[in-house]
Amino acid sequence: MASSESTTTSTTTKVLRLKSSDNEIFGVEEKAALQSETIKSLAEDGYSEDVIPLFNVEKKTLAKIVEWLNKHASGSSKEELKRWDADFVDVDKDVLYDLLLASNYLNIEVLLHQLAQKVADMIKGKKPEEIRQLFGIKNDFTPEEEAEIRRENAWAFE
Amino acid sequence: MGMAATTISADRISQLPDQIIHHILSFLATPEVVRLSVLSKPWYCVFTSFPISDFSGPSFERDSDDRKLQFAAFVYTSLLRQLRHYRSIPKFQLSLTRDFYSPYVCSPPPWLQLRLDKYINRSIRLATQKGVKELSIHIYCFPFYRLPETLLSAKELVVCRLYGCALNSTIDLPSLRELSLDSVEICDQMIIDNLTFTCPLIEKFVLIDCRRLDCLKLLGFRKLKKVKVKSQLFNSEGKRIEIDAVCLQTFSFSYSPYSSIMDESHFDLTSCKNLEVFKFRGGNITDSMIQYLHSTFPTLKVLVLDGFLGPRIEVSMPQLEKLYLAVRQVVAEDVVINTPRLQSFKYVLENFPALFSVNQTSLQEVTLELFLDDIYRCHREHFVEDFREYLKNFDKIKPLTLHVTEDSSGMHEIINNITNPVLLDNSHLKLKISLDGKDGHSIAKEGHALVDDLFCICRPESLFLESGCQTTEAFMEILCKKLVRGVKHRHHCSATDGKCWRHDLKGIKVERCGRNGYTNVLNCDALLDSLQTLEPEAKIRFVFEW
Repeated sequence: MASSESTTTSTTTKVLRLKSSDNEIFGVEEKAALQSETIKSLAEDGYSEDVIPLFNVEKKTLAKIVEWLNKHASGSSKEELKRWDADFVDVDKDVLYDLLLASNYLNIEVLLHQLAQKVADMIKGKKPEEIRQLFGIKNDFTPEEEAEIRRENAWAFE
Repeated sequence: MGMAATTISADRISQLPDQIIHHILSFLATPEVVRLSVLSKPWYCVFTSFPISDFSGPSFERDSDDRKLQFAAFVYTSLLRQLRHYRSIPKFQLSLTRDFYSPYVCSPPPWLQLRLDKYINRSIRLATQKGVKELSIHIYCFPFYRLPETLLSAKELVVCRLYGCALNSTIDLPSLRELSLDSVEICDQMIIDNLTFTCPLIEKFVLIDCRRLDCLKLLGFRKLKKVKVKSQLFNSEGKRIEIDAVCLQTFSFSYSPYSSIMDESHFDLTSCKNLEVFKFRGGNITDSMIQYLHSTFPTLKVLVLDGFLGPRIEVSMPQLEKLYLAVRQVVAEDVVINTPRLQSFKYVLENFPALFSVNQTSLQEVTLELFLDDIYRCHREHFVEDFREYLKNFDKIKPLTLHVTEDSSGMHEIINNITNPVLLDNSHLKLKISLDGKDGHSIAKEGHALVDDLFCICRPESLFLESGCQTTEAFMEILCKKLVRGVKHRHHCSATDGKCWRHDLKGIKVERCGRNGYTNVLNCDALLDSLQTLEPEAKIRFVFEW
């Protein structure tokens, strides 16, 4: 999938070449790539003939993003996409953060939405202590400070 | 190992940009967002800059005056904080449960009422002064909560939804596109009559169960597209709904069970020549009403008729694409549907009509909702022949969706009388089940019999169930277990008659759709494991390969 320099050029569909921060090049059909607002504006700025540099995205993340872009431009049925997306966001937390940052940087609204929803689902229904543990969040409040915040909004903590 | 993994995992989530964290928070209920403020100092900061728009109060116990005040104060301070960060409040939803004001026999002690009102009034005023575009207020108490007048003249308000509350002065909202009034005390008929001058841009109008209205007249609206009237009781005898809106596309009326019958003579929609969707639920549906619709709305595309129909129904509208027909109680003798462009047909049946014909030219999907017990009671031993005969009307349509509501015992009785079963293949089934066993043991027995009966009359492509009530979950468990065993042992099954479904079953897949819209594909074993933790209203679809 991650092929350097071997972009298949066809006469009918234009292929954009995206370069990751660690210099891997991905060929992506224009139709798929333009789902990213950032790529779209870079392409409009005249990058479309050569390589479009994406300084903030590493190749392992870009590979996933390209996979998503291709799937969402493939004309799959709504039902199938839904299932595919559920599998796509079912990854461990580090990959999830990378994808969140990348889709935010690339400005892919739909993907960002799915990923944010996924994280929200992980938070839902858990107690603060469980959430801290799940995401490795260090509690830097003193017990008095925490008690104060809880007291202030006690209606939400019962 | 487990310990090491949790302590090592770096806290990357807290380092995400605020904007992304806010996006994540937007999927959570407000109390959950508030609880995240204690995680750590960085999270407290993210929380304070998050623009909360949904203030749905929790339920309050009788002796929780402090909590009520806290909540009311929280609403107000959140809005103030939001203004510091963003300078406007685009969206404001306030919803107070009944017990916010009402566990007191008459009204809350004056000092508390005063302080609560102060916060609530100030919050609503603040939102309306700061350019709120979308506003939803849900306060039900007695006496009715009176809305501050600033709200009723907010120049920039686009969407306004009110539940409860009393309206006692003119609604003057020049930018308003959507107005929804539910259980609102409307003190003066003129408030509604004047809407055409005070809110001329309205596109969508909803009126549900509002008190003190004599009639509904919406005249001269240029942009009005959608009107919905539900459970509306009118005071006077001259109750009437009159709409003059040339762009009106959708009109929906559901009947109040407490009011006297309304029929087409109570409506005047004659000038709405572009109406595309007409929905009428409850009341009598007569041939003359259908004639009225036919002649008044030549471009009607969607028609919903749910009520006491009969005895003869003929629908022959040339442009109609979707038809939903529900016949209640009264037996319809003849049903003739001659609509060449009809694509989607849904029919709720309590009996098979004596004469039934439908034009299948453009038909693509058909859903039949059967109250099996009722139909069976009418047809008895002829049930299967009559049903087969009836299904011939849809012989060009596959797949067919069947939505069956029934008692399991009725089904068993039907099956016992069948010699040559399988009525349907390629169908999608949706089941609502009531297993009427008294204890775990008899429920299990009922469930087992039902699964066998079901597969005896059809080899469905899919079966759809929704969790939520105990018997459905019990049934899901039985179904899963039987399916797993059925596939495993189908080669050992010794039954030779066509009644044994195990012979034909080749494979099963389970799809689970959660409330958040995700679909997971599982196998039966995985579903069995997760049955205990199933969220309510989870939708489960079994997909069969025969």
